[in-house]
Amino acid sequence: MMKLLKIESVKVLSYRVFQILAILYAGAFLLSVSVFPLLKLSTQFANNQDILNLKTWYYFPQIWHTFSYFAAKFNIFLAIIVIFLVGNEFSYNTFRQHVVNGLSRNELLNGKVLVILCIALANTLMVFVFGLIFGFIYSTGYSFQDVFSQIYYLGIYFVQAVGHMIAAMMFAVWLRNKTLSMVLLIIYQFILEPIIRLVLNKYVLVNIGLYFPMRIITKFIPLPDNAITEMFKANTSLNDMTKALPLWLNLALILGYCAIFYLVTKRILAKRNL
Amino acid sequence: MIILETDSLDKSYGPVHAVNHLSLTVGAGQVYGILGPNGSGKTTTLSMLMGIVRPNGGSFKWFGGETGPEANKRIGALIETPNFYPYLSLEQNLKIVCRIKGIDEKDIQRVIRLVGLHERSRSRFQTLSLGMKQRLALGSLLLGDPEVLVMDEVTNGLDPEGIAEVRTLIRQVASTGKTIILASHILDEVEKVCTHVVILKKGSKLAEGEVDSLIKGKEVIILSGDNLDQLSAALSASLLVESYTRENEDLKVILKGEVKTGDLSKELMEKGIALNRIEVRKNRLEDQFLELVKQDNTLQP
Repeated sequence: MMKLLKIESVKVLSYRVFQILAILYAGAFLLSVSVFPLLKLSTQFANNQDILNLKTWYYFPQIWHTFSYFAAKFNIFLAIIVIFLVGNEFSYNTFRQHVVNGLSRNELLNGKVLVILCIALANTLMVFVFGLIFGFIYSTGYSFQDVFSQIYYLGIYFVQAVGHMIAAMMFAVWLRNKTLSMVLLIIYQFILEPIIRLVLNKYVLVNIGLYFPMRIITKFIPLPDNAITEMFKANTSLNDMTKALPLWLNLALILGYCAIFYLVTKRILAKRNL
Repeated sequence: MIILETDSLDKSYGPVHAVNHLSLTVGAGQVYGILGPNGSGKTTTLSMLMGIVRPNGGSFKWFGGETGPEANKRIGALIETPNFYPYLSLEQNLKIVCRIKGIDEKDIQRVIRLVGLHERSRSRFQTLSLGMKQRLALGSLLLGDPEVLVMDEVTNGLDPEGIAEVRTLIRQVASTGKTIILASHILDEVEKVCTHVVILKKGSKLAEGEVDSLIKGKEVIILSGDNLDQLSAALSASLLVESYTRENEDLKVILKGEVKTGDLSKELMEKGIALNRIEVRKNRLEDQFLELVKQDNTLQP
């Protein structure tokens, strides 16, 4: 395993696209979480409050929920990184060369899975550090217990990031083409699956959409509770954002999807000529 | 000792039968040429042997029984094009190869020097010329001093000097007792560096054997004279001649078994036919090759 990690590290760390996308990800996340506490939304929906104070999102321990929620919104960047890293192996014929040099096809796959785990870990660490910083800035009157009591949200974020990237890896191995994989993943994630979910929710079974892979991968965690959330819940066209399956079920489903994507990818790689 | 054995190896791409039940044996220390025109299945064969193309049938064994990653680590192989990461330096690219094969990374400097790229070792791969890329691939092949080398069209893209250097390098490596398997469509190359050869056409084996014995086959005599028709007629009538073909102003003659060139010359003189030229030529691999391919063509409707 260390061997695979050492091989992958040479390729990944010197890759410009990786560096840029990693910075973009961190930047986009930092920007979005910096903006909310500064917003003072006056709204006519909330009867009792003239001003919605979004700062409550940043209090310990709710900040872990908030930050995991927002970080997951940007996981598409991570998915695209993975599509580039895997797509390169096909466009440079290096998967082929690796096998010629003596790696097994499973090692090709596991090397990429290790990269995915490392990226997810690094990002979870980033969210953790930002969470601490923002939490200490905005929270008032917290105990030590408050600070870490909902830290498990970071674990959920980690699983979501891994799921998103494994799905991306499957697309890239299947299509062997960076652009095509990227376009197809985006179409599936933002257009195709949402439409399917919408149709099924309406005509087949209410909430069946919640079981779909991209729904779970991107919206495992519902919007953090807040006056705005209350408002969304009341509004039927927006209440999808606040819905989620029970935590344990979501976790079981996402792990199941990860396993399926991994096995499908493994099978494609094993059968194909490189 | 047998290094490689294939048994009825077979591969089709849709309607194209790329490799047709191919059985080969390569012994230790041989420089084994796989010779054939474009599309004869050379690359497909090597790709199957290195595990990147799945055969439809048949089997192969490296080193008496191994297949897969462990066997590949003992082989230095270059199939078709050099495959490296364009954004990484030469050193970084070779570092990856070392880590895959479990080779000491100190060996990188040795091979980079050996293929004359030491001044460029920190350049990105994408900045190299085609010939330099090919040299790097050769260097990568030699990392860790493997027991067996597999090369596919290794002199492609090199200038004449580079080609000469590569051939010298191959002979040097071969002289240390290593086994080399070399696919090429260039007869000259095979003739110059190989000890053994298999000739492929449309995925089938046409001939196999030692290069020397194939070359030392029958002698070819080139004749020319003022009256080629008369000469042809005489050759047809002669009992000494096995076959002859006309090439432009020359006649290419192959004699029967123990017949000597002098015997034919004498016979023609007696018939009063004067020759402008008589030249004895070794039946080179090229002739052999063309002959084989031609024979095979006549079998096909």
